[in-house]
Amino acid sequence: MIGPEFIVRVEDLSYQYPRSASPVLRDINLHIRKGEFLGIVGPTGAGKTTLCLALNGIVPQIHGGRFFGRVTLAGLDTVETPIHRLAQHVAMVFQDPETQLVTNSVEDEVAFPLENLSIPREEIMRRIPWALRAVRLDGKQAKHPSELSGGEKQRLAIAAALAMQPEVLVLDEPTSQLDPQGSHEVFATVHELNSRLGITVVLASHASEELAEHADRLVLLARGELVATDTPARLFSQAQWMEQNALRPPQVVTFFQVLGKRGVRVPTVPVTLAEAIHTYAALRPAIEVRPPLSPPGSEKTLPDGVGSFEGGVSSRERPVALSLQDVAYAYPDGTRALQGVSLSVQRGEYAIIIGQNGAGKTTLVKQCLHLLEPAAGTVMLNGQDVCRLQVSEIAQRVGFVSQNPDNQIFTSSVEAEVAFALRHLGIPKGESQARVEESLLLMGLTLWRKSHPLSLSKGDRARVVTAAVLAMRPDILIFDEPTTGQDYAGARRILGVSQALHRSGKTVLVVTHHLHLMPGYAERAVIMGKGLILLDAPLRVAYHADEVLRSTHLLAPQIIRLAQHMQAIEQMQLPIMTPEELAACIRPRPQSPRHPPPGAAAPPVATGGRP
Amino acid sequence: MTSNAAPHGEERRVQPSAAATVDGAPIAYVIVLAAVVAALSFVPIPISAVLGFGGTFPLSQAVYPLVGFILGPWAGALAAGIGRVIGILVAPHTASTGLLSTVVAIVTAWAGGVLVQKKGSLWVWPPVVWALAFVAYVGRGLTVDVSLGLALASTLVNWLSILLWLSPLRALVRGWIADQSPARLAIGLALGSWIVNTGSFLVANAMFYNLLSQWPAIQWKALIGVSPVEHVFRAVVGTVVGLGVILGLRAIGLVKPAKAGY
Amino acid sequence: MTWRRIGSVTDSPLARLDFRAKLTLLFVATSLAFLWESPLLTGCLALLILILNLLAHVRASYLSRGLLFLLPFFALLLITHGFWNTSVGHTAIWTAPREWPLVGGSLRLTREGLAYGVMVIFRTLTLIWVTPLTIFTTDLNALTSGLVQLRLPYQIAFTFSATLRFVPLLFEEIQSITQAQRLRGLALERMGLWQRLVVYSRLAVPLILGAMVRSQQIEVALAAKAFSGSPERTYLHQSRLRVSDYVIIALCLALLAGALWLRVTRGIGRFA
Repeated sequence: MIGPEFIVRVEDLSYQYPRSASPVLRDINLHIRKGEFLGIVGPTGAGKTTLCLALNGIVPQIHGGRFFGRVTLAGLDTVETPIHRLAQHVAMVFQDPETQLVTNSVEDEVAFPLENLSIPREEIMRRIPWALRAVRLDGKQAKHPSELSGGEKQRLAIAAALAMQPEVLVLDEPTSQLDPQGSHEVFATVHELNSRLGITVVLASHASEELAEHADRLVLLARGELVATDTPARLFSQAQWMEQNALRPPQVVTFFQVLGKRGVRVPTVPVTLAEAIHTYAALRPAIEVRPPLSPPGSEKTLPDGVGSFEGGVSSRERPVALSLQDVAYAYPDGTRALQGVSLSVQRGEYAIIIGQNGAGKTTLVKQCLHLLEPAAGTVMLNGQDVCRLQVSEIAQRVGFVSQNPDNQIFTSSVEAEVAFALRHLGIPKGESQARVEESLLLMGLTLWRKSHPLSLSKGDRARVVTAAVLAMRPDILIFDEPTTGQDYAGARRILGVSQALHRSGKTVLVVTHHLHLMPGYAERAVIMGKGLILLDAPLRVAYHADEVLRSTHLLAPQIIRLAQHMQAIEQMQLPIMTPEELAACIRPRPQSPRHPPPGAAAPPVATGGRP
Repeated sequence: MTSNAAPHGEERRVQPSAAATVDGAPIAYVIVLAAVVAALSFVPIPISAVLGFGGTFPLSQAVYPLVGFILGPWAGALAAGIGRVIGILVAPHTASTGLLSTVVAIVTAWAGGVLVQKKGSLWVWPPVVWALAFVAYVGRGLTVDVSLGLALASTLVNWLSILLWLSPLRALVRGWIADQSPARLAIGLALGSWIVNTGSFLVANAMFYNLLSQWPAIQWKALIGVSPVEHVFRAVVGTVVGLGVILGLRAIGLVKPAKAGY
Repeated sequence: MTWRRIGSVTDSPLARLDFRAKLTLLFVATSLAFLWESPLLTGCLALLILILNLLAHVRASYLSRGLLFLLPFFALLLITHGFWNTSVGHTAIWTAPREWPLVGGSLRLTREGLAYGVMVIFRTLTLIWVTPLTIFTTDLNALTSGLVQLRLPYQIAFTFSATLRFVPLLFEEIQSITQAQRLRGLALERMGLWQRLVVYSRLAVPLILGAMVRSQQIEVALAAKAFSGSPERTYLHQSRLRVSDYVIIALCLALLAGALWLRVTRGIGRFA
């Protein structure tokens, strides 16, 4: 199928990095049409980034290594054409919002690639406002990158890419470091560029729900190979591919698949919320919907992905581990980060703290660690005022694993890193050794004890830091965005650790914005917005508090939005949290054993439109 | 397709592009190390009781040689220079000779980069620069109120480094910095930092003395004791940091700049 | 943070000058500071620079912050030169009483020594204050394009502006690394000097390594933006020399030339 409408042709592409033992891409064959919105999915390490970099020549021209096959972009060979010439046709947006912005103002950032391409001055001055308008950043020309939010930074990167007027826009996990609002902004922007301006988009991401909604076609990469390519509808509904590659399909897909196992089948499994709503509407005559059998919060063990609860109701008897009372704090520049926050965490609880960026989550955590002192109110740790304790003393009771593990690595071997704190706390050698062994074992790091922490993958580095923190035997553990930037398997692993710690009696607090991952682990959610606690409730209640979530720019997980839609129609409460729970509320209507007639009720399955 | 099968595609001849580099070091490396030098200018090492230059010295000073070891002479000089300039811009009071104190950062990093070069004839130049600075400093001092004996005693550690540089020790140090064993690396870093710091400080002294303030003989006397102590601290810090950084860079497998010494 | 003021500029007559004119000013002021050794002249120079700073709306708090930091240094200067400067110090205004051990009778505070110390203080102030005068009154782009127009290789000008971009990020990193260290039980307050030295040094390691890892991403991003370091590119911001710039440059150079001549022929500017 070779034709002039293919803007990118990848033929038998294999690639091996210079110091690597094996190829990271193997025999990839891919043709991308002009105007297509192509999504690339796959677990971490599958080669998504390398494939993206192969489209603009950076692989292999910058990295060297061994390159096999051919990649043609707009008719130009990516090995023989210099990168700056390829840059006239393809622009790229990267995962980290910070390192791809290299100038000191929004305006300069958009101008930079154009200056490099020797585009005439007048033309540059014309394109800058146009590009900024397209990403809704007009009016912010003079701002320094550090003054922008994460979503704005990525939009700026998109504007700079857009200004180059490329035929192809490649985005490598552009939303993995962003909060839900930022993520939404980026996808909306990219979608508009694709639909309105006809720019071909290649986007690698873990965000299944968004890809299902926007992509025309998906490509599944695993272990360097192109395993499958198909529409989102067909790819996401292939349960065995998803499972084999530890990928997470959109929640509605899981829902309808579980439903299928309960005897309620649909002709096509929907992949977006809109489709799911249609499918449900068509399905209604054939099903019965009942509220969940057991009251929420009771002991329940459900299929994998849900876990079990420890019972939130009886927690009133447990001693308070951590409490904040009317804590207020303002940063030196005047921003009121916390405005009278009160919170009480009991021993053995597992709670999440959620809210938009700037809501005060990190500030709250820092108050608990005595890294900041409240301007008003008190923070108590096991009944003691935190301000009277040294940070180093607190560290032995509250362990903190921050978002960037690299900032918490100080030594050159995993073993030394785990022992690092113990030395400084004056723990005697024998005990120190024992604790190190225990931590290494708990985190599965015994085999890597002599390795340099930085030679490990990002996920493993986070485990090293967790092991180091655990060696101090804290009772309370606080994780700051532990699943950001992780693929599904990695996220599950980390949350599994948190669950094991919780089950062993520790109090766990997780600051996160990956709401969809937390059911089955956390019991309670504290929703923050603008320095205040907007809602502090069991997870189930918090996830259904639509207004509150929206006021802090959060979106309830897809399945909950579907449940809320169903609630409105069926006029009943469906306080579910996972696809499995919702599916458990539905069963085939006994009186109509037939499936819904295929023609009459077929929902419009969105394939993305273009053939 | 098994993982050991040969690729189907034809192998291509890869010509690495002339990516933006400065003397073989990718420009991005220069940028981040310059930013590091700038940021570290504000972390004071609290060594008290040091006469003449305040009670602390910034962490960045101890890092100039390392920047040279990592980037090579010219890229290292650029990184240290730009980092120092920005440090001065944000806090001018840290430099009593104003922007001129950038010269010392540049010379130190440059000399560090030259130290670790295996090939070429650049090795001649640092001792020349240091010797000229020595003449400018001591020579002027002799015309003011300093006796030759005092001058030599006061600058002992400094002119000693010229001799050490010209001795076979230089080649040994270069070898140790490239050595895989952490112990030898540490010794190499310590000696390398020491030589490069003490030598380049002649430039600082020459500039300060000739341009700013001819300090009286008593200060020369004080420096006999103070100067070696300060330099020991700088070398220790440089070694601790250098060891951690170089072991880390090797572990990460970062692409080495062309003129790197580690 | 002060760094933010590098690049955003309050309007003033000085701000409107081309960067090259300001560089000339910087050069001349620095040269004069070194050339002149009389406390009177260096004092006038320092005062002039201070006034120019204030006229250019450089914040007084910024200027005075430098002073505070330097007070120990200044005090030391006065003491060292006042008591021990034997080359110029002749007139004793105070002598240590004979009864004092060791220094009795020989420790003298001289007028000239003090004057010399004062002169050095003025010099230092000039050198320090002339920096914000040139840099804080210059828009970052004007600075970069000014450097390029001075035939500085574009790579260097770009490195300068890109470094400025990333410095704030590293400041934050330092904060978060220090906090992480404290959370691992490092209580600096309870540590001896040597341990503290090692701990402070340890701060730099994750900072540098983290920075180097990031640099790889920056390199890739630069390549994707068609950056090649080559000066063959469009420059959006171009600075042009205007009449006022030429006038300032001429004035400054004339001042320097005049001062040189006066110094050589009439000895004006010598210490005595």
